[in-house]
Amino acid sequence: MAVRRKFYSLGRQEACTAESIEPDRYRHLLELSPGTPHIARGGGLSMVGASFGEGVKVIGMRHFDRILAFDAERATLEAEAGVTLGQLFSFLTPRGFIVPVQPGYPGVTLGGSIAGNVHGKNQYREGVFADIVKGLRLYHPVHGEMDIGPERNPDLFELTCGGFGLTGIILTATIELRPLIGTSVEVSHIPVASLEAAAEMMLAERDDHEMLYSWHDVARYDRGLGRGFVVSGRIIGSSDAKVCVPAYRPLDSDDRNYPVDLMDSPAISIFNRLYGRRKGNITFVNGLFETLYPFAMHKTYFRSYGPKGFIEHQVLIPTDRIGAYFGALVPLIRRYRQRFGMVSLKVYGGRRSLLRYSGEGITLGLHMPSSDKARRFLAELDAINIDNGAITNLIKDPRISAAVAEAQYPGIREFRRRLRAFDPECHFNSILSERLKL
Amino acid sequence: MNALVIGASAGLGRALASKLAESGCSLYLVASDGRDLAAVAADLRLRHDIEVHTEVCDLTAFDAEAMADGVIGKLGAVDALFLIAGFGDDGDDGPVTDGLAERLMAVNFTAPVRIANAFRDHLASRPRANCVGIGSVAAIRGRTSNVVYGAAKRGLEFYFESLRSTFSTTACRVQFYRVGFMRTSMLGDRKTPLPVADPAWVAARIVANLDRDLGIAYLPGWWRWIAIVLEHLPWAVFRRLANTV
Repeated sequence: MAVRRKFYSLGRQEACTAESIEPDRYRHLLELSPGTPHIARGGGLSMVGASFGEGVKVIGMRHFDRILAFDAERATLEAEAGVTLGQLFSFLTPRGFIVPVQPGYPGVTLGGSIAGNVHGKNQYREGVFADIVKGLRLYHPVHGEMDIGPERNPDLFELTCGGFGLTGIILTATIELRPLIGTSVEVSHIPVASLEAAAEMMLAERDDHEMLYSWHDVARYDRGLGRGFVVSGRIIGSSDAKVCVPAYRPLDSDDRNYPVDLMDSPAISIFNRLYGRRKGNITFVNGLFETLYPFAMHKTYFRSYGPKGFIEHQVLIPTDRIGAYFGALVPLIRRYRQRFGMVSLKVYGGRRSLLRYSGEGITLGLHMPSSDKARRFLAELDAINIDNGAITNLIKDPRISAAVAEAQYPGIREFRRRLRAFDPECHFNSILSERLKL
Repeated sequence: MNALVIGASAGLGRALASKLAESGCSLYLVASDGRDLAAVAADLRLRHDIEVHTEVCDLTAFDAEAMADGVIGKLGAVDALFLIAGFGDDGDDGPVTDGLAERLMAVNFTAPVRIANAFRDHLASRPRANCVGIGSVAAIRGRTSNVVYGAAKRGLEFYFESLRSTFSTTACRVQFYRVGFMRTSMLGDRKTPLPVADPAWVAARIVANLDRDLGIAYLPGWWRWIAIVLEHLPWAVFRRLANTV
């Protein structure tokens, strides 16, 4: 029975009231209301309105979370799209395997990972989620159920991986696994003086580490802006050791934020200085779960942005534009005195196609408290991005307009053409697809 | 322990199968939705490395004796029978069609009675056994919705009370749960005046109680106080509440 309820993106920047159903049987899942657009919803943890929309019926997939097949010899697993990466972690690690591409929170679902084509801690080495999908079963009310993969209907497969759920409902998927070589991670923090220095170090060492990203203090506007450390991780220990999954409180987009924005305050500058000094040059051993899913243990982080929430902006800067990009970014930050809850770099690789957030370069991730000032800042940053051939991750930033997306993603026109050819009646829709005119 | 779960493809039945699998039980799962049943079975086999058999069955038309023979043949013996399957419909609110009334009675009353009957002698002979039935707070008192459903559950409760008397000289424990609002497809996302229980929690309580000589109990337990109030409300007051509780 459908119920009307309010949906929010995780950063609370996009919201709407929509009808929602949570089928728990295939015969209910596969009978979509004619004439109404639908969209599948997994964990509902996207930063943008990718799993809800005005006049769209939301199909909750949480009951479709069963593991269907596991082949230790071939290192593959088949599961329903509603299974979470955390559930797969608990199933696979005692059996000596791990999902190679892991976004930072265990509540992300298999289907959501495919639809968003998510990345992990070292995208350069691991690739994106689509790279580990051997095949999937997709349902569309007109086309029925289809088994697609890199070699079975590859065009539709390419459209679906990173297709934001717009080609249909992902029912099941088969993914490649990686042998678990240890259950702990030796984490090293190496101090760097600037964003550019971090990028240079990470590009030089990108082949040497299983995990590689950086943390930066940008809540200061002196010469120290961008100081921080590069985080490298190496899995250690024995794969026979038991992996501990600590208790954590699940993240939910419906959770209310704290009544006060703790991030847009001078306190963040003090916190960053102390954090940078304390964590700046250390090596320690961390649990595998805590390292793969850092946000699992810090649910309060998201709530600390207050009622207005936060905006995530993630941009992929081509390798040959890094110097010029940071040369434009740093003065912009100083001019606005913009505060950030998180600033991080990762190394990227791969090829660009359609709407895939992929390519050779450095990706910059920013979390900032939502405000008019932040939006003006980001509007200027959009221009810097376009000038430098950088692309913004469309599954992260809720303000990206169709015009900005078209300037950054030449493949968007091809995506629209192929989606319209496959689904001319637009059976699947969301706030994200409306905003980007997909 | 070898357990038979009727209605195992979704909701409380699926949650119960999962809880039993966690304790290492061998399972025989019955449901009408074959695809979901196969997925549940595959998942439980992989997660818990247990024996799981399945049978697709339409509880409005089946042979209970043949089912019993098949289950005992595959499992060797049945130590616990869980009659979980239920069926509700928004059309059960007054003038019910014949077809709907038959289906409501078949799934919610006749089928569990026939299945319990088919396993009666087998369970009575076991050194230790359980027979668990599921009722509903919808049967506390007659209202304008869930009319036939409530009648079926009330009838099933009487049957289980008699079954408990029958089995009192054996090692088979008979338990019947009047379950409150539960987050399943039957309830959907409807807002309720009282808290809604998670099927996983209800299943955990049922499994934890298997060794207890409970008879009839409420899950969650606080529903007994609500029931006492509802049962004793004067008609003039209750008729105003009849649509909300």
